[in-house]
Amino acid sequence: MESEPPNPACAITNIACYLNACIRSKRSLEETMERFPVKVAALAGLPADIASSCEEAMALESGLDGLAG
Amino acid sequence: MEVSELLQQTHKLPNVPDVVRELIQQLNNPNADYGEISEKVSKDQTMSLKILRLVNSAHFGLSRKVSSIDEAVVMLGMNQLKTLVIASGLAGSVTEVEGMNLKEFWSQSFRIATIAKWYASKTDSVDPDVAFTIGLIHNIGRLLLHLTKPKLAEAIQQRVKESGTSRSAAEMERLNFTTPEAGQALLDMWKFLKNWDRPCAITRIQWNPSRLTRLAPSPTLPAI
Repeated sequence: MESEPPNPACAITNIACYLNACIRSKRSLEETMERFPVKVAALAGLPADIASSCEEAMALESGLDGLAG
Repeated sequence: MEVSELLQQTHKLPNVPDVVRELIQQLNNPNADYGEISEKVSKDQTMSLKILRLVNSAHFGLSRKVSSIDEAVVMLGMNQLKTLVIASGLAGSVTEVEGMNLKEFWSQSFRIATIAKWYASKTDSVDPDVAFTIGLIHNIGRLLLHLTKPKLAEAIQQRVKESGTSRSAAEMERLNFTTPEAGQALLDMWKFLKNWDRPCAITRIQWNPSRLTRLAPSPTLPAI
């Protein structure tokens, strides 16, 4: 199973988890970009400079919190 | 212990509405009859009310008040409504979990799903709705463990906090499986990933922390 080709949807979820963890741990934008999982992004077919859009992605509001609880 | 021990406690499992299951199963189906699905959502009063309340919130910035699901489809589009129905159905599937802040759990899941959807919109290789749904359910195994074995879940949390060991290592130590594996078993039981390509790859890569470390070697992430 380990040798199965990675699934792009999975790689994208991985990146989203990474950014969420950075937000939770209050990691600086600079460090978040520096440590951005670029290899994972490539697996998802994202452009090479996608790390530079971290700030935009981290600022997204789900607007869904009213559904919880 | 085996994962099946958690799944056998059917009365404790999340109660996902049929219409939500149907929507998730239809995500990759270009011929899905969404008209029928929105009709079913309209008939579920609790869900409709939740969705309409949200749609009318400032976040969506609509120019006028929406008072029915049909109207919501017109104003927001079917894709947006699908997202809301899936999020609402999953978040409402459990009302209380011992030792877990549910509001926080779903808030994190919503954020991950939203970011995943945004990234998916930047590539042709992933359907944004699928990315959103995977983001929402990626951590459902942990919810399952808290629902069925709350004391064990708490002990694992303590162990991670006190010893700094990884969550997957702590889970293997106490359960002999990881919560991502439990999550996958639950999704298999619900047949959520039935029509998707390579379901094992989807879940294993996302959920197997050792694999993730190899894919993303640089970040030392706190527990998600």
